[in-house]
Amino acid sequence: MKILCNRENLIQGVQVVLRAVSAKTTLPILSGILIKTEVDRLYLTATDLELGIDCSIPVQVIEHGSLVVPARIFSEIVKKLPDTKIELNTNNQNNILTVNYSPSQTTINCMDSEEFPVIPALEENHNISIKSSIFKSMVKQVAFSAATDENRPIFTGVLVIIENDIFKTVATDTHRLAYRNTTLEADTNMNWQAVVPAKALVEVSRLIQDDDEMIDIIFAENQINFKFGNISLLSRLIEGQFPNYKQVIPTSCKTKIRVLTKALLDATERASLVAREGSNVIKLKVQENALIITSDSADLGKVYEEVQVELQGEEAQISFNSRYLVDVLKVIDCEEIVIELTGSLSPGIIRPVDANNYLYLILPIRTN
Amino acid sequence: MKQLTQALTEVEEKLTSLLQEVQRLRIYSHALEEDNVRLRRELCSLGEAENAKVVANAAKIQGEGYGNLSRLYSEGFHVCHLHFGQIREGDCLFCVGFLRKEDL
Ligand SMILES: [Zn+2]
Repeated sequence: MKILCNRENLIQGVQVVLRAVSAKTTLPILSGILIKTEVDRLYLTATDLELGIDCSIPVQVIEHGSLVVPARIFSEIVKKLPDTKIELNTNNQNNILTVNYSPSQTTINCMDSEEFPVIPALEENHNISIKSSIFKSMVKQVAFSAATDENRPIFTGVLVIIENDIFKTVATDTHRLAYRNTTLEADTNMNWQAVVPAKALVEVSRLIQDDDEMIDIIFAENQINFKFGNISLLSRLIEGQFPNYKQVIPTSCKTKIRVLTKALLDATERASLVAREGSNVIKLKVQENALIITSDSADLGKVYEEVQVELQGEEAQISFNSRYLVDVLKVIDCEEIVIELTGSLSPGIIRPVDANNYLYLILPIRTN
Repeated sequence: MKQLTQALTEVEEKLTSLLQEVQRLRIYSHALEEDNVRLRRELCSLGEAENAKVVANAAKIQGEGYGNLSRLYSEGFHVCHLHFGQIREGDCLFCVGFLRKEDL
């Protein structure tokens, strides 16, 4: 293989696929990046077998070929290259890569590309297209509610549902639940659902460069593929049954308040400063026209916050983990929200005031 | 003639022993039959008792089940079908959803 490329493109390609390089050292080949020429592009690929990313960059191909470069050292070298024309030259007999940045050069010992696992291409008969900016906002509003505890794998995923032209996402760690939907531009004529690792969705979100471009999502039996720009990300799906999320959403409420998101966020964050560590308990008292938030810690002190609200229904008292409340207030993306409560033991519901495409459930903490 | 008398005596003795054998077997068979009836009766009454238990259980589940599950939950165990009986860390939306449904 012999190619000429520019530094910026090479850095981008390496940085993108580096996220999928295996941290485990059980399979040495997975600590590498497969580089392979095709027509006038260089494809870079990395996988940890759960998540695979490939990225292609424009290059000038002088001689076609492929090789697996050790990811760590290659990325370090690429980052520190001078801003000049770069030549990658391989000697396929002994798997050595020469990086030429005239007048200097570095040679790297590499691995045979034959050993690299093949990332399967999915049949494109089940796919949808969604605008990047919408996809990003959905991931931002939902993925944080997924569990990080690997002992309960199903909850580390986001339930993705396609019903014709409706795209729904749900995540829960069993203490809180986030739901968001959107209407797709085209009817998919599909009824499909799967649990996608939250990690993979966050990764796609992070790798999106242009908010106006469309992302193609291709669904298969146990894998999902995201294609956007010059990047393709493939993730395995999480096996198992996602519990019936509709069953946990209360259908009526006794107390309903309208409150400014920013005012509530600031008050909650201040109250959380002295909330007891671990449980982060803050107490909410809903009165006519005001929401009182209090917290106290024997060591640190007390906080009393009063936020203006519009109340419908009964006055109420409830305790929440402040972290769960702060999390949603940061991503809800609406100036004003509605909070619905039904007693001090039932989950509270938080929605944007002007849209019914988002819902967040938060379980109260039982206090005596 | 003496030989004949002796032969007849022997036949009589054999017949007597056979008759005794038959009588013994008859008693045995009668006992078995009685056993059989008793067992059959026991089996039936066992079914009825079991039946009553099921009915009582059903009533108990309907009447006290919610209380038991809610007690189990407040003692720190999951009652949702996902993790039923497992120790829970913090509250669980699915348990609470399930208990709310049971409460209706
Ligand atoms: Zn549970």
